[in-house]
Amino acid sequence: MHSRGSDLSRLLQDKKTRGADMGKKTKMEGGFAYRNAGKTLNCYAAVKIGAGKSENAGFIYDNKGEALHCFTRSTVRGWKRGSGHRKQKDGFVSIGSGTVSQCFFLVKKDKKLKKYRDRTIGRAVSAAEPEQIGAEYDWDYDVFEQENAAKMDFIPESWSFDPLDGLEEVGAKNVRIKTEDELLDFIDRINRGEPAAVNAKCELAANLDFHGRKIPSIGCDRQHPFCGTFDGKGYKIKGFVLQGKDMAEIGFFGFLKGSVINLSVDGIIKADGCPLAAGFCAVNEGEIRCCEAVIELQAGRYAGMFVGENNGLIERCSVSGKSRGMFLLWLWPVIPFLALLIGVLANPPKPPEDYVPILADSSIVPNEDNERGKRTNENKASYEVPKILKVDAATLTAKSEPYVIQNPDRGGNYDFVAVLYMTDSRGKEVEVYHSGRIPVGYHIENLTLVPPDGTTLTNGTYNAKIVFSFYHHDTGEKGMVDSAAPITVKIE
Amino acid sequence: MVQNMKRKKCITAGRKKKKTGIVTSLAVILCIGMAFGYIRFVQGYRTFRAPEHEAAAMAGTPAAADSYQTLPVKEGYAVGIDTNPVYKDGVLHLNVANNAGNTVWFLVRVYKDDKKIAQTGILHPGEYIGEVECEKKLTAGESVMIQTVAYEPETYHSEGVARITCEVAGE
Repeated sequence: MHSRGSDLSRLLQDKKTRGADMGKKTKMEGGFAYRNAGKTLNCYAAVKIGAGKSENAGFIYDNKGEALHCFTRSTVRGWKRGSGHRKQKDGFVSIGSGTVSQCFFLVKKDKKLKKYRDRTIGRAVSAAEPEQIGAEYDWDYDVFEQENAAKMDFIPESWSFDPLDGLEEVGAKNVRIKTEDELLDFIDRINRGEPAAVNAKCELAANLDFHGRKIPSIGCDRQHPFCGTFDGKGYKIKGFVLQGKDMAEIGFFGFLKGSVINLSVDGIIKADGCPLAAGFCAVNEGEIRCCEAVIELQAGRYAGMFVGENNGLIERCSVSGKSRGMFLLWLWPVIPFLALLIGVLANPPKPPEDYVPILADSSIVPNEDNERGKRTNENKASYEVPKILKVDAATLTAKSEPYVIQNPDRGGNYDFVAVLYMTDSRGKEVEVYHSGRIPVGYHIENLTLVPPDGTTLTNGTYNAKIVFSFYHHDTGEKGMVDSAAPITVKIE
Repeated sequence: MVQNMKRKKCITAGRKKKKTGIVTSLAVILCIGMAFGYIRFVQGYRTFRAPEHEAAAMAGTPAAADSYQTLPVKEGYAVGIDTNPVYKDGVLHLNVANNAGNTVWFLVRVYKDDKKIAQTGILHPGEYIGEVECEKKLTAGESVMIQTVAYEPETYHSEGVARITCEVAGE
């Protein structure tokens, strides 16, 4: 076992650096690791990060150690341009004085990234041919999907790691885990500091699915690390939720001083209120080999999608998933309510109508020549009516051509009701037609005379008048004095 | 031994997404419901509600004072009113009458600085009201606007609005 352990001076230095970072308000994320002070070999990340206010690096945010044969094809919303150090590799590493060898990152269609791109290791997806990568970077590209070169996916099956090849036997009690409850019991014993569990040699014997249950980290903090061996045997633990509130660090493994191999995890990390968050392991001071994480991370201040701080060894591991900010998560369902509130405030209910509106005439049609004048608050009204109305004696409807009573749209704001009075032989005015409301911009094209009961209209020419009563278009309030237009009615 | 470790679709993320989708859908549905409720409320609020008949209306005409006048309104009716109303103990004595010869109903509103401070119920022809309670204190010499809102009987169609500005008299 190649566990590097932790030395006091480095811990103090790390704490000091983290303390200095705490002054910043931005979130710092790495596609694979937040900080690497150990070795990261043959690893890759394919994640989406950069939600909210954050500084990001495609692979390692702060590299003080060694990165070899690694690559990232992460989607990063806000790339961090590093400063002050010539060796840094923007897009891959953000800050740090560590070494980056035979690593590269892939650029999709991120135009902004071009100016940050290190020409020696950043390359377009289309240019990432495995053969070329293999030649240039001395990669063993058997671990890639070769059929689709642009996709550049790892083949996890190629990563089998045999514990007999490299890991020492811890010599403690062996544990085989077949169920979720057994794993929870095992975690509980580790987090209570039970030595047999802390130093156990553990094997997974089945896929586990927690179906959204909350579970604690394995090795919950620096005082309760996991120091044994955890062999996933290629099985997967999925469906778990890790809650990091009020914790110093959160990850499937919290504080690891032992070894983990051949394990795949798939879960959600909620790190709100937790400074350091990672999908697979928050702080690694041991060894992680041939492991995979599919993670949805709601990151705190410092986040690595696979590992938070690596002070040990990580080899042949991959991570996919995404990091998201907490703010938008909460805001999204609230947005419709905010929109509704704004709508209500912008359109407060108007006071009730003062009048019963007069119904519009059933035969109104829009004018074809509306001038669409601007409505004003002035008392403005107009009407158009022909001077002669020819009426068919049999039907009492307008004859031969339409008889148009029009309310032109010339900026007027009054509708009107038209009432036709004819003068009989005794000089008395008789109402023979009463329209409904004719709104501004509308007209009626014909009318039928309806004389009062007992009155007969005979052929002849009659003096008549149309009286217009005006009603405000919006309020329905009767306005101004009625207007009368004299016309001649010919009944034929 | 490494078994199938191939990266698959994140089931947990999918479940989470589904949960978020349900919450969001519920929020949107609730929001739409609230919007409809608001629209219905506004529609109901905007709907005309017939004003009630003035309970304190009295038949006849008020006792004639020097400042009482019968003012013709261009829409074809006349309003009897004390053009120099007296304000006393929160009550404005304006003696508004709907003359018996009118063919409209009307109610009276009193405005001070464009703010409505009093309103009567409907007065039928041949009725009057002597006083109306004000929401705002008035002092002698202040101007108020008295507005009569006339209706066609029964239909409540508008028969126009008459406005007169008066100076309030003291006790």
